[in-house]
Amino acid sequence: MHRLKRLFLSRKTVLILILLILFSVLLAYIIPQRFYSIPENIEKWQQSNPSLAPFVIRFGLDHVYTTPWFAALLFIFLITLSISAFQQIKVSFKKTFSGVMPSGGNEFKKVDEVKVSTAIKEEGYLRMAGGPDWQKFVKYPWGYWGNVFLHLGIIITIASSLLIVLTEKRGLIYIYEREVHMPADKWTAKENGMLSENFVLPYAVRLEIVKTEFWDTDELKQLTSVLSFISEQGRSEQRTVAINQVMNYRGLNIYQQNRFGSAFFVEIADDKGFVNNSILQIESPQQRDKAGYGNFMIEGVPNLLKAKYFADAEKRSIDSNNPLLTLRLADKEKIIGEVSLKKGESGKLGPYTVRLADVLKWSGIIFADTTGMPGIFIGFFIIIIGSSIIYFMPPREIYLRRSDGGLFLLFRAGRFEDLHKEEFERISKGSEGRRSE
Amino acid sequence: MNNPLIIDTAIHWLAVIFYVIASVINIYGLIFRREKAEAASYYIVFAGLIVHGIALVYRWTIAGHGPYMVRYEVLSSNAWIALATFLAFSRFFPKIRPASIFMFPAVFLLIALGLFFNPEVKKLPPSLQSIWLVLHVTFYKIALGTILIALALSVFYILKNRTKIKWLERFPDKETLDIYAYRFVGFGFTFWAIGMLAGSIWAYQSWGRFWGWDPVETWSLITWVLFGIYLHLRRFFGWKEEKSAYFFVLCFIVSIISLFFIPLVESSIHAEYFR
Repeated sequence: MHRLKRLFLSRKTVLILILLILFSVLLAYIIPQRFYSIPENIEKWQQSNPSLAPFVIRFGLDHVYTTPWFAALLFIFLITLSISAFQQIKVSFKKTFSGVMPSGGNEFKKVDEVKVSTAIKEEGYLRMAGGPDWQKFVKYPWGYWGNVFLHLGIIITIASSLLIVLTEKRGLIYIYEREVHMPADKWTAKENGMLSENFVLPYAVRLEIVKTEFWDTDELKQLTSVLSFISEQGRSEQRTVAINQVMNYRGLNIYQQNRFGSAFFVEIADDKGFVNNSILQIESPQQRDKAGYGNFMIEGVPNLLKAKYFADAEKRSIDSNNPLLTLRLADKEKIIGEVSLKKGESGKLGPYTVRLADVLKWSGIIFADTTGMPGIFIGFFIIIIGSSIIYFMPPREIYLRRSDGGLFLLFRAGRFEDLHKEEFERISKGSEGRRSE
Repeated sequence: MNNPLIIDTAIHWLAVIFYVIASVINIYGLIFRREKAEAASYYIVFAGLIVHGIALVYRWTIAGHGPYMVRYEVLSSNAWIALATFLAFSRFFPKIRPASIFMFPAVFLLIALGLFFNPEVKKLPPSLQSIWLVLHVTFYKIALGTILIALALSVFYILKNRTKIKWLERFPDKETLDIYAYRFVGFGFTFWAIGMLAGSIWAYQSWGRFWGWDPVETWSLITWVLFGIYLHLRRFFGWKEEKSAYFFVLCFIVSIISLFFIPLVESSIHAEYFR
């Protein structure tokens, strides 16, 4: 047990753990991660690295932060830090309230009793311990606790992030106006913690309207979605969510994602009269004279459908109710049909007749059920307190010893001793007795 | 002269002139041991700081947001905060004053570099409209200021150790340079942490997550951990003097990559800035 404790407390263990975590982070940076990259990019990476791909899949290197080995690494680091913090609490307590006088006598300097008392007070030293023939003064005695705070903060942050990684549930839906997302419907994207159950919404959600505001430079100013929450009993409650304006509804935090665009309701009819109704959700263009793009595979249509649209058919506005949709039918590299449509218009696209029946706006809505978030912020706050204390308020000590009929002074500083030379010299000079003595 | 961007650029150039004059006088004062000249350089640089501050406030007014979007304003505000940080710290720690020989030119080079980029105003996307963003950005800039000071002290330590350049005698002894470098890395570590905390609160407010592992965030964490390793090596493994000075130069290079290069080469939620 003692050996295990020594292993956990070893500085080398801590350094190796930090380096391993750093290496994992670098791996996650180099290898596309599932929660961050689109599936096509991951597939592309795996195809261009066929020898690495099985290894990546086996060890979960394409989702490093949600692998059991990464959680285990953090957990071991947490244990190391916890033992270290416990030791540090004992050391800090001893340093703050200890009644031990430093040994040795050569460094002590004879001083005047009245003058030294004034000089010490002026420099902000506080009396922390003492005996019949000695006293200990400390400037910034809380400085002894800087390391404890730093480590406690890191422990709380890592513990909270582990809790989040294990239990978090997040889901994203791309939803268009008047669409209802039922609890059983599939998410556009979701993240489930290792220990959490499948994320199912406790209510149905209907997107009533998407409101967009733009700067005169066509850049997005604000994006707002009005949502209706429909309970099992059919009761409906309307709420608004906007970017940076989080909403909480029945225990879930709901966020407005910054992705939005237009949903084009397209009827595609072949020469046999078979009609396919498709909804093409395309991300909004960046500017009025630039297009937004999307590629689609439509049921019953063997070719790739390439779509682009301008926010305004006249290219006069980024926020218009008159978009222009252009569809191209591709047979590998070759374009076999093209048509441009405004709302209500029809046209020929290769062998198909296409009608743009309606255009509605869509936006991305994020639902999150997270436990442990306050721990992250509290932990981080304590880290900052800890490191601020360490570097802004390093403690220094003054010992006064009465012996041989005189009073003797000694300085000590655990860290940055050289930085306090001037302060010590100032006190020393101001505490000197008269020369005749 | 009605174009606000021309007025903005003109005030910036005026600040550059102040900084160049201050740098020349400061270098002269330090190398030739002219204390009056050195003292005068501080007055001039302070005047430059005020003019530069006016330029940034004016820019803030015309852009409708703080100077943290396009390269021009990012570099300019970095320069301003780095200088203000140096002046504030040099008041409390007078021994770092000779680092002005590095800081003053670094500041005018930063702002001058910014002036070569397009000063056009970019509007703030809604996800960046948060007080936490202002704090996030400000503390990273202060961290940059402190690590610039630490870099200056580390480089001067190496120079003093390796060369016999006469004017380096004006600097504190090697031990003091070494320990001040250590302390300023500690300050940088603290301010970087505050920047990350503010950023994680902002991310939580915007996207419901405190950390998104996007490239800029990842590199910021790597840099912070590297600073932590530097401090750990110094405290527990006895690293000091030249070995730690070289290690810090490496840390500094990584921090510059994190702050300025990753947003350029990677797609990121942070990529809205510095483009």
